[in-house]
Amino acid sequence: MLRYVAYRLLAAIPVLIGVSFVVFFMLRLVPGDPIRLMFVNQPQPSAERVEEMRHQLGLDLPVWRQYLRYMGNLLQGDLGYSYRSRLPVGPEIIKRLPNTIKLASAGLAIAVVIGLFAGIISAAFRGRWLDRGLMLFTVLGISVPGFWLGMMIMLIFGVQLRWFPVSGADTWQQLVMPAFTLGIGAAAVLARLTRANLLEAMSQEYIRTARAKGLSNSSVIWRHGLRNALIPIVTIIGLMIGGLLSGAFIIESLFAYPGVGELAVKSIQARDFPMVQGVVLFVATCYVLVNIVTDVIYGFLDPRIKYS
Amino acid sequence: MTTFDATNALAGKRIDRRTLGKWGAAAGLGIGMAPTWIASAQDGIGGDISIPRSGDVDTFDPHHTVAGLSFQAFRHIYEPLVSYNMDLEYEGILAESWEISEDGLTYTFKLRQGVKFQDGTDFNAAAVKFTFDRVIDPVTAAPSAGWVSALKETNVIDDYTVEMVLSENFAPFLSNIAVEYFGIVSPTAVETYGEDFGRNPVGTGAWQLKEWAAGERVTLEGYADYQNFHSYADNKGKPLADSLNFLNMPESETAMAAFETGQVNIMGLDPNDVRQFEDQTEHTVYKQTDVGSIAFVEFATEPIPEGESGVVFKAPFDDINLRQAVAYGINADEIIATVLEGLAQRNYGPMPMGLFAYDPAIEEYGYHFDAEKAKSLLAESGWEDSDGDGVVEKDGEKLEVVLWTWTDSTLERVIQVIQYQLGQVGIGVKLEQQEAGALFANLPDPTPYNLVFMIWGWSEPDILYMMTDTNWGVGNYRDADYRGIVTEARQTTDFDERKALYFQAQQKMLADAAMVPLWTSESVSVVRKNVHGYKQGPGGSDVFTEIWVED
Repeated sequence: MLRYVAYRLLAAIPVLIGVSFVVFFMLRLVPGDPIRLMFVNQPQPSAERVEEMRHQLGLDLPVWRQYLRYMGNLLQGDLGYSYRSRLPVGPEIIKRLPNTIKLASAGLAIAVVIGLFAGIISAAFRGRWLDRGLMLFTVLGISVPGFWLGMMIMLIFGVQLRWFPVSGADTWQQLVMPAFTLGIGAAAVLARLTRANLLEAMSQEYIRTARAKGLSNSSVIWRHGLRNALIPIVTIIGLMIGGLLSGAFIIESLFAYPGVGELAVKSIQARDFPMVQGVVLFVATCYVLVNIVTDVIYGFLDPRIKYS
Repeated sequence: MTTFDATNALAGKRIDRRTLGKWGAAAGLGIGMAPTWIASAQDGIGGDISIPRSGDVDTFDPHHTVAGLSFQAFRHIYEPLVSYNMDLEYEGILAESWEISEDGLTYTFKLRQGVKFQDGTDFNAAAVKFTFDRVIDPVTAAPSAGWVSALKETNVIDDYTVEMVLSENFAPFLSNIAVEYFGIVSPTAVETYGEDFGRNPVGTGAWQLKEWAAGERVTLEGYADYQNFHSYADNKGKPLADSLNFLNMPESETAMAAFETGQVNIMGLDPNDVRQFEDQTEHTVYKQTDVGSIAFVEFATEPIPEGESGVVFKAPFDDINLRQAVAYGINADEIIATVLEGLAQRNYGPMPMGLFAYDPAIEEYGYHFDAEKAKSLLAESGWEDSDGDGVVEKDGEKLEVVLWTWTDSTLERVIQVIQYQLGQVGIGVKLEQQEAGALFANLPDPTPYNLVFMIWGWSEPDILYMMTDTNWGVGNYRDADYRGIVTEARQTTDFDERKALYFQAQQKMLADAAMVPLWTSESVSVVRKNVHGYKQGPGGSDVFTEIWVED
């Protein structure tokens, strides 16, 4: 097992180098000059002044040399300095990353709890009005755009009822609305998936055996049906985390929640290359790690899967 | 020798430094203030000022950024040597008085005594030298350094006298250093924090940084030993409110919801949101002119080789009749009244209306909306609508042009109206909006477009030089006469002479129809009723030191 994890971690390194390469060169293909953009709506500096500043930021070097320099620094743990603030990129991201992870985790928790619960109830009451009602809600949950949903949640629970503050990230109350906005779409997907998988598992022969043994209905569902239905769901949850991290970008902006998404958007607009590269690398690293964890959990759930 | 004396501006009569010292101390104690200040201070009135903004601060280091969002926050932490009074004349802030040598190359500042930085460091000539040396040091790579490029060196004469030597005559120097990008920083703090100074700013200003929750909120608290040298300030000491908060709210919907719930209490509004706040009773609406702003339409131009003069407008606007047709064809008053909800003032010239070199007589020289005149100018040049489709032609070619601007919902509606108005006189306009980053990268190549809608802001008349010194549009307007006038103006220290030169420059630009000036915009703030003492300083800037907020 340990060897497997170590192997996966090693295999992640070329992936991350690939990510850094793609991001670095793609950013430089986008039109836009970080120096001119510093002066938007202000008198633009003269051409010679721009050249001087390009030199100061190392932007006058050929792109491949900039990349080598960047990678050299990266190996020493140095993500570089923001063009806009001249502050080191690493600490700036580390300050915000926990917020994004907190939001994505809370969204995931809501998705899992609501999704699994609704899916199990639906499966248990298959074909009855409760099942139909829940499935109608999941269709809504999947099709409503996150931004609109967030706005509605904000207007109802923030402005009208005043239950939760509309912005910020200091207290748990401030996490509720964005987490729900983020989690509801994923919950709807999980509910449908759980229902389908559970129904399929329940039609298997070992379930009939379990019932024949005289086990109670709940015990059949929970111990035999669900455990087997969960295996594909765990895979989906692992993949969903990527979606939640990036979906969080939009929700963060709406609820003025200080995560890396907001930082990424601003940095892209400003062509603050070092900052964008840093954010993408951090998010990619999170994603890779989550996938390793998912695969490990997979092994625990299904004794047939062994890693060596 | 030109002499400005700050104390004159402050007290309205001459007072010596000793009196000033006493006066300063008295201000610190609250003596001599309007009774309300004493009462409020004693009642423990405070509260939190909270303002939503579209983004976060990049850094609090004034020498590492020229981003507006950073500036709006750190301008409360640092103070410049000089600033403006309500009549937009210079007044001394950290400098008590100053002298400019006859040749205009040496500026000698007498500094205030008894001022301390927020970390307890003494404010003195060494701190001023430290600050300006840091600005012009290439290692700092200060984006603002270009605005004081004439500064050669700063010398300490004695503890409270400092001399700045310029390499060439540069009239905008004083007003450029009046901006907080050149606010004086605590040398101790810069040395202590090193590259982290941007997170640990220390100045002499009314507010000091308490907490910066990145991406979320900036909290400033009043500086206990603050001495307010602004002539318009009634509260000469520490700010009344407990804290000044800038909340990061990228979506305007969020800001409106937060204002509604009272989470924020002072908020700037877009023109299209103003109506919603018109007849409510829970807040007050304040208007302010963005003194340094100018909105205009410019024409695509070919670059002029460095050092050469002249201007090459891209066809078909190489014909002055066509440029004038655009100027006559746009009804700016209509755009102001409809799209901008009245939040702008028609400006007939290129100089922003709030600057001293704005010439009210420019209205005589400017282009007033006249669709018939526009049509006849087109006809004069042989452009007529022969096939009756509404767009004029010449030699079988239709007059269809492309107008660019950046992505913004208000601007989208502005350019749609311009499209309609020019369409009425026979000019077909295609609109393209681009994200700001892409736009500024694409502008230097004039091939794909003909017109650009642009807004610029700057607080110094030198804007007339700077806007003709870029590499697109009116930036390539290097007419020898015009260039000569604005260059002379930036080297003339005599106030009236300088003003006269800018009047000339404005007329010249209009005579050439080198760009089409439209308006100087105004902005609107809404303030909740529980916020007391809100007022605006010079140029409509917010004064936060006299505000207190009821719970």
